[in-house]
Amino acid sequence: MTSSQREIRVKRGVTPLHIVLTAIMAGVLGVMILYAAITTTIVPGVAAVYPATAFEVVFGCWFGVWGGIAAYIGLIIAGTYAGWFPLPLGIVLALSDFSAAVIPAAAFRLLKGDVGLKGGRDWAIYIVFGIVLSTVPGSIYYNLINLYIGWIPSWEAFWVGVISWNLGNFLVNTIIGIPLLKVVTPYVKRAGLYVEGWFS
Amino acid sequence: MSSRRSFLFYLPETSPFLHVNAISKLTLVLAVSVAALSILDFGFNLVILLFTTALLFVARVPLKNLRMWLYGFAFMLIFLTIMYTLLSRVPGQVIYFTFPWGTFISENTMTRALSVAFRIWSMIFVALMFLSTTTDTDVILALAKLRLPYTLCFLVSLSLRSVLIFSDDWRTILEAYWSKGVDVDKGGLVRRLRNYVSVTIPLIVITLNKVKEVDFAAESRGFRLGMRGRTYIDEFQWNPADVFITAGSVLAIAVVAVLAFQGRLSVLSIAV
Repeated sequence: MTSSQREIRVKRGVTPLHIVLTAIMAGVLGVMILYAAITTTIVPGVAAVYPATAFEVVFGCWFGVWGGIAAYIGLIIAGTYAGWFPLPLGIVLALSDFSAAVIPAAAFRLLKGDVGLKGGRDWAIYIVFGIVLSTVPGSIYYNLINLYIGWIPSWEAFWVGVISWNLGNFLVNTIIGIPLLKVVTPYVKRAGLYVEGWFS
Repeated sequence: MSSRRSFLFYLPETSPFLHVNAISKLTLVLAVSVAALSILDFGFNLVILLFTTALLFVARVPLKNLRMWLYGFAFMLIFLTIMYTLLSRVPGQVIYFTFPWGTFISENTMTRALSVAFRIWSMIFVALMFLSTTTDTDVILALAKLRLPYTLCFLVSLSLRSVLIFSDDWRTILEAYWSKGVDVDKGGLVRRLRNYVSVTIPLIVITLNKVKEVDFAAESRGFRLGMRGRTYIDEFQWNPADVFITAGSVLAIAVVAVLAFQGRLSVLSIAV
């Protein structure tokens, strides 16, 4: 066992490192959301291809609930800054991105999968919970709120929004999420930043 | 003329909102949002939009700095018009056209689309006023004044600063790619998403290195979880203008809440 691995085992419980990690990841997600060049829209207020989702899912896999909090704060900051939604509405809407990060995080922790996608079981967990299911609840929630405030005009537009949201996210979670997990996970673990449980 | 850097850009020191504290401004943001979300009516939503536009002028926000948001406003109007034309069922006396999938255009369709646009944009304009007249230090002082835990204040503060720090790193990485003749925005959707991976991996690695540096710096300056009694070099101040804005905002929220409680308006108007 190397000294860095020994350090990871010693540091149990929530530490200031987790707060710093969450804040900085929220900042990075903010940058990804703001400068995602491929953001396209089918219904108002809903990005059909939204690359930042892949990072939210991956951060959830690596950092557990902290990844979810980072996704939540990142979307509020970037969305308010870019004028996508007003601040009070952002506080409500950003729960969708929190769920996108926490669903795969929960799946990997409850089913004891390896986020480095080492075996068939890990792949199955990522495909089901990281690619297919991660954004479904969030997409329904986000579009429902948009429907209530009139941003989306009807149930027809609601379903167009939900379906395009999820199809776009299947794509980005596959093309961006898989290489990130395969390539960067060993680095995250070596750096001692990987969160094994929900919070620590 | 001297100026001060806010979240968004530099603003002249003469801007009156620079001297209003963040709690008062946040109360104003909340009041406008509650009012805008409570009533879906063309005239009312237009008045709120004009009020928030006036706030931007009073705050002396330079128009040229708002170009990006104004483009967004125009884009949103076009999108909402198309969506409401094709996929809405706004009731009216006259139905001009019914689509095979059941939605229709009435004489109220465009009015509703514009009301929704005004509603959203009044909330965005007031948030813009807040962001363009407030610094991250103001927000931290306000959060501390509200007696929120220092850990939360630190989390919010570092998140806001990180966006600015990593925006620069992002640009540097992109420029490195451009200098090598690689345009990451070229190609089809899948190609561009793949390019995106190659640009973001360096950013994430840089970020992970910075996490340890920042953690070390914060802990060496005494940051720990659940810490109390933290002092600040800047002081939170209440001026007469703060009292006026906060009282007016709270009053507006109370009026809307009473009207909603009496059933005279719904807090969230369903547009379908």
